[in-house]
Amino acid sequence: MLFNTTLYLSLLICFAGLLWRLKQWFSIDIGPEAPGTVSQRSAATIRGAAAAIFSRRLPVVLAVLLRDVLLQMDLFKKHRLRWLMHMLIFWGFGLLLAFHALEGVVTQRLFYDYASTLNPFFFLRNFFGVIVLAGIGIALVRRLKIPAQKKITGRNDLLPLLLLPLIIISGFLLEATQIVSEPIFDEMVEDYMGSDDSEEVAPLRAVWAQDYHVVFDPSPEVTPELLEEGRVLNEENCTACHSRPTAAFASLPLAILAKPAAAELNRIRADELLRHLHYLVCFVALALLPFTKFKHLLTTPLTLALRSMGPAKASQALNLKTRRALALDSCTHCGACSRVCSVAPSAQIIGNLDILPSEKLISLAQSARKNMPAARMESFSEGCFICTECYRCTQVCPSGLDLQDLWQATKVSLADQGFPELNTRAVRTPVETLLPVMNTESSPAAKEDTMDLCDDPSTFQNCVQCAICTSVCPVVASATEPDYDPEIGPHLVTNLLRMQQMELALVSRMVWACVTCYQCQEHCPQHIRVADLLYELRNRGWSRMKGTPLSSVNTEEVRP
Amino acid sequence: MKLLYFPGCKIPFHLPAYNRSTRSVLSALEVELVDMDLNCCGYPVRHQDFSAFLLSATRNLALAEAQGLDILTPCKCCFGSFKHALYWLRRKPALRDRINQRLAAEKLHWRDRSDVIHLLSLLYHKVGTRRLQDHVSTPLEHLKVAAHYGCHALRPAEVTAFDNPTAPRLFEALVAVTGATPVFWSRRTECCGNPLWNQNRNLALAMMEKKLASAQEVGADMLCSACTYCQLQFDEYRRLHPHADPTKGRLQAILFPQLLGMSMGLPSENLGLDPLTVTDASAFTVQVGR
Repeated sequence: MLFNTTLYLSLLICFAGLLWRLKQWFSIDIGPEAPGTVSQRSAATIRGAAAAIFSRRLPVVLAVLLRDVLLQMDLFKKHRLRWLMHMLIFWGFGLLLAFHALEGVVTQRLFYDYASTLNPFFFLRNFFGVIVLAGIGIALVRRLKIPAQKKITGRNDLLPLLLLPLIIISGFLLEATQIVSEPIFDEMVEDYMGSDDSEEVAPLRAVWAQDYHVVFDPSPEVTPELLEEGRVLNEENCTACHSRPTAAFASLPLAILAKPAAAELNRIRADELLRHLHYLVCFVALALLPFTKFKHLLTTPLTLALRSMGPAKASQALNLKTRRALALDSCTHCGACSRVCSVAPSAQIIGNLDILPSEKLISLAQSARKNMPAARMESFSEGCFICTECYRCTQVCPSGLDLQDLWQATKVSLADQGFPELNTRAVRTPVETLLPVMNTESSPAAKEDTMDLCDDPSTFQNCVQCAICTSVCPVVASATEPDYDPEIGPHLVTNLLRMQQMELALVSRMVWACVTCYQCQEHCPQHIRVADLLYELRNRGWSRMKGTPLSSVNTEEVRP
Repeated sequence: MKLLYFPGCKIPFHLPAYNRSTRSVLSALEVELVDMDLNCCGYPVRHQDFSAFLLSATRNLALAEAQGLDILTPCKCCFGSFKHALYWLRRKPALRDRINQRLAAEKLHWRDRSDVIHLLSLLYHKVGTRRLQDHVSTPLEHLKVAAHYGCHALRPAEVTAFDNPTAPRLFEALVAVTGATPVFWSRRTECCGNPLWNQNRNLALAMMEKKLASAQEVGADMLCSACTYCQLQFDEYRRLHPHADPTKGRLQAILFPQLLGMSMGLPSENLGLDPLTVTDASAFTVQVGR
């Protein structure tokens, strides 16, 4: 009763969670294409799936599922240890699930004489349990010992690494308490030998105490005669269904360790308690499947199958959106992308974790579900626009996510939502709105982290305002009203610096529209580092805009 | 000759043709390229945070030192970025110490033992025009080419030491090796407009338009670039936004290793001359008479 209630409850939660996920895949909207309704998008997916099933691509898709899901060949080529870790957990747990948890559905149908206490099942349960633990061990060591990996490890990564071993270890403990259990022995004698005559059972008790590690209270008499007689009885009544527990190479040592306390354990029926615990942990894991990393069991194969049908860009606009939404749920947060990220050094200095792809994806999921506060959107946008689209994350992703497409689409979405990169926003923000932001002193970068030019008058005081810089500036030559004040020019910026008008210099259009061509600096007869000064002013403006977010500011779109 | 190859961030996804043509040409010239996992040169982040730029650049330089190799990059912005990093590291001990402290976590250290060289400098100074000449089998006669210098290698010359910043000649000399005629055009050392692409597209296009018109005026058949960002501006970005394009009907741009490779008789598929891009192989093959 308790078993059924909890099983169905967890199945219900799991199913409801999956439905919720499914709805998200058809409603989350990332990218500039028309969003489409849930029904339009699900219809497009069904059409796409039908077309795929009846196309010549189907064998290719199946081959990919075999190669990249069941065998993980892609990961094998990229990283042997991670492949081993994943295979141990995946196959160990998968086979336990199939032949042990689903024994009534799978194993009993395959083997007519199946009994969970017979070999090889006795042995295999232990074997697969140990492999899963070995895999989890590798995962934990990697998560906690590799610095880059530790940096991105959070609760969501540790939860599965806690739940899975809890399932396995509770299983081992359960088996250990069953091995030593006198009550279970008595039940079995009653069921299979049909006797409760203690005289008659005494020889069997001797054998089971000696060979099967059952702990009786009080200890039974063990003599060679009793053993001889008991072995005959054992052969007649027991061995057809129960192997000796020596094959249970993980549970048996636990049972032997527990022997001193076994009488007490038997009295309180510790095996029953552990059985409940074992089921409970399994059901919790089942219920949590759609809400934790476990969901990648379903989503990642789906993503890999989709990838094998072509790059995301090639799919129909509606399916493209669905693929992006699915990608959010297919990430296992393994961190492979962040370890190869080209702008990781920038993440180290700027301290914004959203620069790293594995973290950016989590934030993207949050922003796509529309529950990200504006202040977080600022740092998320910063992270997104520091990405240089070098394509490496996409190339290494073991889940086959088209991250490149995701990042490019996200940048467009962010710009549409009023969060383009800060330089762009500075260019587009009216001067009067920008000025109070630039007037607020933020913690400036340490002198030894900069070129240290604009606070040092010796770098610009020699400016004679000859305006050669302005006459060679291509931005000045091409800029037209109303985008730009006709009076822009590098010499005006150096003049503002000479007059100690830092804030006015920071809102100068020249600072934010500089193309860094260095014509000004090359041609300056006074050898002033004009372009470097403009660079440093942008750095300073950047840190002030981070200190006082522009999100309350009305950003005007520039004309197309 | 053995060099650490630094393609930079934009090439793998946005401009693979530059990678293919550079490798094909250098392999024919027996220059060995070593590949390694390197990070961004720091050029894009320099707008935001000097320290992030410097750590990015210096980490690559330190990795190159550990290999005992100089860095070769086909991108002028990457080249400029490394040169700026070297300039400031050499002049400001405080900066250098801070960066080395940060690199120490990875057991790296910058000791100023590796230099950086741009593809054009390699071809001109290290391989040499005379040796290049020996490899030219199909001179691209009758072709007039406008060499586009690219800002970040040329200026500030005090930092980059690439060529004479006001009257450079290296690129024209290399174009001449292919048999084509380099044209002199007034805007050859001006900016392509790419750095403003996101901030102000109108201005970015206006700057490109002026350049293209200037090259066309003197009768050039095409532009030639040797920088990832410049080529993206003249090619992919222009193609992606045909509506906003006041430069339609203007000249197309070719990457220098593509031009050189054609004159060396290398097959166009090895040069990434893809008919789907603005850099249309057929257009160029018609022009070079093949």
